[in-house]
Amino acid sequence: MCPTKFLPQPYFRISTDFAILTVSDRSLEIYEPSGNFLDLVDWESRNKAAQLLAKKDERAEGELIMKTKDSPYALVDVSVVWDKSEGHIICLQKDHRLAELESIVEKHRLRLAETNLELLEKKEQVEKSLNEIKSLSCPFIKLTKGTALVPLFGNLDQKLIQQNEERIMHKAHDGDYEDILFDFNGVGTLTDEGVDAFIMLIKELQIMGISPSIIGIKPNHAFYLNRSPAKLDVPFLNSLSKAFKAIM
Amino acid sequence: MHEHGAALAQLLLEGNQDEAWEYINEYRKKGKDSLYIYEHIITAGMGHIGSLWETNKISVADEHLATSTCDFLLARYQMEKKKEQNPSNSKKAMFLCVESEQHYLGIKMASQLFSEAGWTTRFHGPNLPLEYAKKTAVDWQPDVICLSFSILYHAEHLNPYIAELEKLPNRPIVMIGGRLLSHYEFSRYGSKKTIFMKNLEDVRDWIKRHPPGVKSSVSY
Ligand code: B12
Repeated sequence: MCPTKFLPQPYFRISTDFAILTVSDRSLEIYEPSGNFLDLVDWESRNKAAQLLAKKDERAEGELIMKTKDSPYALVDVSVVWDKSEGHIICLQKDHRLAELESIVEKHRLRLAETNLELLEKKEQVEKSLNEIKSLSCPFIKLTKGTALVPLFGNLDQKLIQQNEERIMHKAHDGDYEDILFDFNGVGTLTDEGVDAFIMLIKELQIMGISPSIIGIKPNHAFYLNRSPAKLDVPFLNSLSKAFKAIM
Repeated sequence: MHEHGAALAQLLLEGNQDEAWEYINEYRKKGKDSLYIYEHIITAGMGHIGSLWETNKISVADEHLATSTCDFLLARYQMEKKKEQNPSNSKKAMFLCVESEQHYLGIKMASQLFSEAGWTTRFHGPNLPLEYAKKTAVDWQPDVICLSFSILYHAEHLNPYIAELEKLPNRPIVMIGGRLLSHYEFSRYGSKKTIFMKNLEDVRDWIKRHPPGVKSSVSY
């Protein structure tokens, strides 16, 4: 009887072509019976295994991926010693030691991902309400059959115009309007890009045959409007009643 | 490409976040695009780490450290890129690894390429069981669902994932990627609609042909 049968670890005795000659009982508990040691090794660890097993003059050690009864890719610490034409191999499974480390890493990763996702959702919500606010900041009000009032609220920036220009153009066109009054009474500050975008909108309305005019301009607005290289060719009126008189 | 691999691998194995960042940031500043940085520097670096393990120079524990350093590197790179990125647009893509699959660095790069092109993206990382994937996809209604796997045994998950996800009400496009796709043919696991990507260059070309601003029901 062979004493290695009772070794408390998976043990293999192999020939020079890696054929399995004897194993310990522990080996049979963990691995399927096999004729060749390389058949127990994952296909992408076979080159490494062959190199490890080829070192005949010294004890060799290294990690291999092996197929066990529990897993097709278990991480195993393999050590081998050769005695003439026979190799003696011990295979210690490593997964349970790494598993703890892995679960900690995984927890951190999840925490991070969750936080990111939560933030992302909040950001999406905020962006959505911001867009809604921008649309509300630019209502389109019908005054008479041919005249509409567009009061602007908040800051006149590129976003405000971009968000609303299409809607204004459509309504102006579909409603057959001749005059559109932009009311600046609710406008805070202006940006250069916002002014440029606004002037573009005015020009497009004019091309459509509509006469835009501006009411409620304050001195600081005028400064920005005049600073733009593109010149505004529209009447500036300081109140709605004046505007009506001018139109009627 | 090989010299990048070895140089970055060294820094990742040391856990040297700052120098690893400097290394890729140099190339970014010289005008290299994300495709180059992902494919020729970072993927090459991780590939070199794979060959160090195969030649018995490092252990899997070292790979864990390198991986988390690499993960950080990708996050930092994306943050930097976000400053110059188009605002996210109407099209949505979600990204995940099939059940049991832990190798997520590759699909993380793919997700970052989509974000950079203006897509709205959600990255779900490793090991997302099909039930969760379906639930998320039903709620969020992505136009594209990207799956990744690296371990050959996990190819068996492709069939159920692809079949179930492709028949969701909004008919998402399912896209598959992973290291094995450049060596083997996996199309038998998918349908005629399924897209199999060999590398990030293919992904970039596909994204170019499908700009995020244009909503179209079916096209690939
Ligand atoms: C780093 C690494 C790890 C890291 C994981 C890193 C991570 N979180 O992503 C850790 C240490 C955690 C790890 C664990 C394991 N690993 Co590992 N790992 C590697 C290694 C060295 C590099 C992988 C990598 O990050 N490559 C870089 C990325 C960027 O490349 P990529 O994934 O191919 O992605 C590119 C493309 O494919 C594409 N892409 C990828 N996904 C997608 C998706 C879409 C939609 C698109 C469009 C594109 C795309 O984009 C990228 C750029 O082009 C490889 C070696 C190798 N040769 O690959 C082994 C390797 C993949 N691992 C292997 C194994 C066996 C394991 C373990 C089982 C070991 C263990 N028991 O501990 C576990 C398995 C865990 C699990 N259940 O999945 C084997 C797989 C063997 C097999 N039969 O399949 C390999 C090949 C090593 C080996 N020679 O044995 N591993």
